[in-house]
Amino acid sequence: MYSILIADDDEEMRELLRFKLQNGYDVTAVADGEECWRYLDENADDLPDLMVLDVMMPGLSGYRILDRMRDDERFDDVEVIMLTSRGREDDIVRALDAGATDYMTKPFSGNELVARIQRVLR
Amino acid sequence: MSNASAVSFETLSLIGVFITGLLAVVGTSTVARSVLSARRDNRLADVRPQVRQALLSRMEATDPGWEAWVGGLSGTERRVAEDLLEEYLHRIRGGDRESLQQLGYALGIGEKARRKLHEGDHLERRRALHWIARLDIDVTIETLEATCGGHPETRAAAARVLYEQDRANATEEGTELLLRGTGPLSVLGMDTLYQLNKLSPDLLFTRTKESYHEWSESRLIQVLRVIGTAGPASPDTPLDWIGFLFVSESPNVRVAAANALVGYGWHDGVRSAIEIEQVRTDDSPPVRQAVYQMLGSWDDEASVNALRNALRSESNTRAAIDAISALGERATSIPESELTPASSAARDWVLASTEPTRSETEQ
Repeated sequence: MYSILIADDDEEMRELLRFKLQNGYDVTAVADGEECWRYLDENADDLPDLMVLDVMMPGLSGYRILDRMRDDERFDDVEVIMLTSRGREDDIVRALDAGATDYMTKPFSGNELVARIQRVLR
Repeated sequence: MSNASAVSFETLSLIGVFITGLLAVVGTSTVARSVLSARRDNRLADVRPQVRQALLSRMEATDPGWEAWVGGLSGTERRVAEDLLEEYLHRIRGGDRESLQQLGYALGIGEKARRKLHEGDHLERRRALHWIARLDIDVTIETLEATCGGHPETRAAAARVLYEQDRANATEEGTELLLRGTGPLSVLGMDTLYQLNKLSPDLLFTRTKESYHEWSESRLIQVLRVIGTAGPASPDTPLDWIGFLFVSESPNVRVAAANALVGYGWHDGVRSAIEIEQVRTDDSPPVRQAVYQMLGSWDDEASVNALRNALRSESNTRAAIDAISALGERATSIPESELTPASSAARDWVLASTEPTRSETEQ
């Protein structure tokens, strides 16, 4: 079973994502950027296959996490889908430039997210 | 004298007892309210996971059976369900959202919103409009105008409903609601005005032409800011009147006008309406700064010449920096002897600040 890490500081968002993904994936959720980076660093031998990453989080932003991952080859195989309320063109370009696999804006469709995850992990 | 002292002492004692008693009552009631509030919050938190799980499971079901589920909820669970509904409607779209909207009706929120729209005060109407947008309740523009037209906050909320529901005439009707009256817009109103007109400011230009002399300075500046951040106007939008904004008595309006027209160098109506020599010699340094930025973005021969001439007359260093920044490398070709002291100092500063970049480029 593929594993997914959800990083979002919004509790209801984490619960909603966990619910939508729990039937097909092994899901872990973290509540801020620092916790997300700590999780990745401590689980470098057993990394998630994919991350659903919020942009605006306390501690470290999603962009900073992406930058760190790009600079560290341990994380080369982790796919990242950004899920954020920031939908401006330059935000999307910034995320894709930083190495995000895909980008979705909130409000989001749960079914669309699942379809995108399936496509990425196929 | 001794009688008076005794009375005074008794009076003071009574006042002391009264104040002590009052403090005790207030303190006790505050503690009691806090305890009750904490117990209520604990009860809400205790049932939240179960209610959330049930709500999300039903959201995905083909037949959620919301009516039956809501009928079996306790008062506390119902309150949590309403709270979760509001949270999730804010975050999701698509089929899940449509299912949750039916929950809103089952909870009676839709009916209550319709009622409060007609009966409530303006705060209750705003709350009702919030739910009308969230639940996609169909309310006619006539009803919105009749119930929300009297207060700027409810007008803004009603316009937001038109935008959120993606109505066919949302831009025209929402803009009309927002720009009724002459005072400044709220934050919601300004953002909604932008959302409604972000693809094209044609309507805003038209409304500005019709009403700018009636609007408050704040309103006019707000609308110009929206124009400046919206997409481009149509080439055939009549803008030959726009020069009037630059003879406004308010330098803030003149700054806003220049900022709004930054992206309009291509528009013949704008170019023919603005006397470049007049606006670049404005008395106000902040206006000249904004004008230099505008001319820099236009970047045609007339604008570049105006910027060069500005360096020969500019007395304000901060404004000169903007003129030089707008000219870029072209600023270096003007002989030092032709520059004003402010322009000379500004050029030295700009060149020094860009030196590392220039060196990197050369490498």
